[in-house]
Amino acid sequence: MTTRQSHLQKVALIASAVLAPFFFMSSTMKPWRGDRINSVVGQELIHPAISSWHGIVSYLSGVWQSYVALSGAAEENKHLKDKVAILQTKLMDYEEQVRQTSRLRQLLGLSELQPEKMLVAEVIGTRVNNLFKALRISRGSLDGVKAGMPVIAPDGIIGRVIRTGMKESDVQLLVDFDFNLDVLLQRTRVRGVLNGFSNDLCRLNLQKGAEIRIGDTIITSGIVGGFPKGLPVGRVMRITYESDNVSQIITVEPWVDYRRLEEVMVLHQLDPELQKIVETAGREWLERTLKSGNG
Amino acid sequence: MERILETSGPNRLQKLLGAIWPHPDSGSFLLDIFHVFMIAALEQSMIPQQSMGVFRIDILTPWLFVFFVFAPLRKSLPLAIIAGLIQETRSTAPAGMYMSAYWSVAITLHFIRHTLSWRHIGPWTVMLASCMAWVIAFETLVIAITQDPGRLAWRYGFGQIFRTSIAIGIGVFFARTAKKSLPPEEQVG
Repeated sequence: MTTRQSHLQKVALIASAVLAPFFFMSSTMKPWRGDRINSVVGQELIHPAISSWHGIVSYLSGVWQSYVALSGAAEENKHLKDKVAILQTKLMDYEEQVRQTSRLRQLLGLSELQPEKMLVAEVIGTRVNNLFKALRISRGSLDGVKAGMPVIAPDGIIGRVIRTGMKESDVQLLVDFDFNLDVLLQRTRVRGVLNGFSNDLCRLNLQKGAEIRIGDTIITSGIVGGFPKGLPVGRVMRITYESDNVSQIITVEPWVDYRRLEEVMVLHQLDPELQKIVETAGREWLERTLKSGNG
Repeated sequence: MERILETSGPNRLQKLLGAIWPHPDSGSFLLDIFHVFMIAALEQSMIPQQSMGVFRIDILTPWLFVFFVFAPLRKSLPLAIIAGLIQETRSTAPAGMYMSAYWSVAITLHFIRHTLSWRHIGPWTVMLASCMAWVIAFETLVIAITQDPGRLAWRYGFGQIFRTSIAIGIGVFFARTAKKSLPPEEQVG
């Protein structure tokens, strides 16, 4: 290689080092989608290692919890028996209420959340750092999971599938800053859009006049986003007022503790609003939009 | 007798562990890729459970920095892309964020690596701290642009200082173990 070629190569390298961040900044800055080649590199290849590791850790943790860490088990057992007795009484009352609600919903012509439309998945990895919050579950496109499907737990909303692999999917958590969800205040039925915020909390902007109290429960509105109506989201933790004297910022603590999740449920239910648009504009339009990165 | 020792169980295990241990620039690019996946799997499966809430322990990034110092550019740049993809496809980070940050670091380290010496630990520490500072500054800029700058509270700053300190320690450890694996004549200087 001549000196000139070497010099040119050096200049090209330095230019690429300097320009790479600018090139990235000029992009749309969206996360990768599941239908690209990176999905194979980033997810499919690393999947066996992560799932094996997860299996080993779960097994060891199970052995520890079941056979070694048993201090206070007898006391806990007694406490749980008392609790079961109370809960059984409550359960009978709830079962009656569920039957009543079901009858009323049928009368009103509302659809129900059917168990056969759910898919139970295991959490095989978490990525809850301070920046971008997601977790990985053990079901993928082969199981019928699609990007956009809601993910819930018995305690409440977890998030939405953002990317699918063949046997695994990534779920964007409710507390991720780019996550938006249409919600209702259970007590006052005030509607708003919830955003993820820092430190595993969410934020809701409402007009100053909206009646709200600390401890109020937030539920899904069921209007946009594909989540059925009435699922618990979180509770109001803090209320602050904006300096513009027009709006108030509600800090919401999600019901679900993402760090302790083991199983989740994926709802085979896509955003009804999006479905209506697809019916009107055609599936080709959706595919074109997703490919162009605007989705 | 020597043959028996070479093929004995503990010796084989030692050899296997020696091959699996992530030496920067192991000689085989496939092995280097395997090391990246191994470290990423370790970081993404085990470390988050022990990272004390907001604090993040990053082992892939310091390993990459040490790799960039040892390896030629034809290996560093593809590995920077692969590592970036792994980081990005495991989170909701914008596509290309880590790739472009690692790409710049790989090229910069290629040009300045002759200034690093085995005699002093100082330049290695400064190199690792500067590279971590660049990656964190880039992440922070992206958050400030795409998200709410209000997230960048003191807790965020404290978490990043913790992350950098741990990364420097891990990076120096990787560099030290890499030095031991070199022939004696290359360990001087």
